[in-house]
Amino acid sequence: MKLEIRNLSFSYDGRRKVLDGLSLSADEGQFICLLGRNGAGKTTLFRTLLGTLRKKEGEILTDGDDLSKLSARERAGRIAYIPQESSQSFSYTVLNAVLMGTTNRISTLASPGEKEVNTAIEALRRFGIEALKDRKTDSLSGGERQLVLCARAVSQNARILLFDEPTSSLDWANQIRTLSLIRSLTREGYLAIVSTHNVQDALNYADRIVLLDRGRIVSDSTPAELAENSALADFYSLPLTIKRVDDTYVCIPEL
Amino acid sequence: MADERFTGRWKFMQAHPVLPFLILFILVFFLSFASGRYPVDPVTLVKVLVSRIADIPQTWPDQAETVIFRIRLPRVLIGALIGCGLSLSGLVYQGIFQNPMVSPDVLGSTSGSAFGSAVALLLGLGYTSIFSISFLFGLLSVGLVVFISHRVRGNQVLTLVLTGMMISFLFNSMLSYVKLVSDTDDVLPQITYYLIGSLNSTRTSDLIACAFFIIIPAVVIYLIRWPLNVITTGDEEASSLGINTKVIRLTAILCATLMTSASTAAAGMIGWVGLIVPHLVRMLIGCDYRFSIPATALLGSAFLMFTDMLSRILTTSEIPIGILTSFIGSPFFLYLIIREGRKT
Repeated sequence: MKLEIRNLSFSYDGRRKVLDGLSLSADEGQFICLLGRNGAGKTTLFRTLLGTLRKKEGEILTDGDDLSKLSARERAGRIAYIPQESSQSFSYTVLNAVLMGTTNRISTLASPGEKEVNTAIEALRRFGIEALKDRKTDSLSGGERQLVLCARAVSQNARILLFDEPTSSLDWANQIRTLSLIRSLTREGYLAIVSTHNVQDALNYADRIVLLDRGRIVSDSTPAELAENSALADFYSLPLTIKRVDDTYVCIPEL
Repeated sequence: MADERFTGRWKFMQAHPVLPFLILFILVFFLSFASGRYPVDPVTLVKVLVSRIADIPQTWPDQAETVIFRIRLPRVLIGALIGCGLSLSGLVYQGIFQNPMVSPDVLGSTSGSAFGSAVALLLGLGYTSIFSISFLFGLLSVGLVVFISHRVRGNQVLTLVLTGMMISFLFNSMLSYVKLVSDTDDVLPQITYYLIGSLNSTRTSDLIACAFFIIIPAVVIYLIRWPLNVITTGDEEASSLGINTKVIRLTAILCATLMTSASTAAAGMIGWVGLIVPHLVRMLIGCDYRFSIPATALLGSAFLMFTDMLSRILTTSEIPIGILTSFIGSPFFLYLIIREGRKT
């Protein structure tokens, strides 16, 4: 599935533009990392893609269809959202949490049936967490919760996945696992757009790195291109060196 | 062996989580008839009820029939309906505001209804008018909250709760003014007694109105049980999962408001039921609305029937039910605070 964002602008107060003429084109199978300081517009961009914020100007197209003309249900069939941390005020079993991913395919007045349960179990099996299906989500570790949210996104049948800082609350091992998981999903044809603050992870896992500043894209390059120019150092106003050790990029700030 | 039997029972309970609540409801229903000034034993009760639909020989005194149909049944049924309505409202509000500590009066329907009934009492209107005005003011207060909050940008949930608080304060201050100008010998005691909350003065017309304004919204709430589950994840996630959050929230608010306003209009301000019953249900069977809706309806009904029974039998002069629910609810709420504190 192809995502096309053209001249997208958004403002909360009608004066300061949080997104300012942003354009981005992405194809299936790509792993795109969004880097930007706090307030750069990453969350606003996600909210606009999800339809929780209405764009002021511009167009968002998925496979040529204007996203603003699709219903919430149709949009959910195209774009899935994996939040940083899901609400824990009400805790459900893992199976029910993943079943929520099938909501876009059942009637508003119906509950998930056997077919949806099978889809959810298949998604759980795929991420190796079928054994957790009867556990409550508030009893899971951060890494397990992330897997549940990924399973939910997969059972949603959407091909565009938006990850909001997926590794920020995870330990190092789970950060690596989560990023590898996202990469394996993109190899299956999913388009993953991942917002992150971790430059090194972006360099090592992404196909493209988009630098966002005050609602504008200031750079859209491959990790190899970024490693060779000074865009990152200029972007963060921080002298840094990017070295390649074997197949891994290492970003060293010069403090 | 004992373990196997326990596991078997546990699996049965997991497969039928609503069943214990249904059994409890039936038990309390019969207990409500068997206690009080004119006790009716369960066998007689069943026979009298069956006699209305089938031809069976009369083995009970005429008095039992009068007690059942004229006195006890309307009161037990209205208690069950109000308990169901208030508890379901609490369950719904807690879910759509993603806050398990929210009670049915969060959007001001109780304060609006209380003000409406006080005005009707001040004007010396008849019983039907008191119910109608109280009900309409309950709807008006929530209508105002929804109307104002939709004109405010930003977090919809927070705006709704804050606007609800302000509208409640407004109606409470107007209620205080009505009390101030009321006749202290006649109207003021009536208003005070009404506001405490009691099933003592409810009538058959209340039963019909409550049945209409509680059962229909309850059915609608049950129909949107799955979207209600999804909406507890928050607006952003629910919307990304395909839920039209605005439509579901408005439907849920409308249904919960109808139930709360009808309950308050019929029996005054009965607090705590809408807070503690949904909590208990979640503690016992979890959050899933597919099961918690019927379980809450049954437990809320059983709880209010039981409390009403206590209010009738504890002392010779009846204790208003609102006092008893607060008496039970406050310690339970303290227990919840301590429990939540231990968890964190």
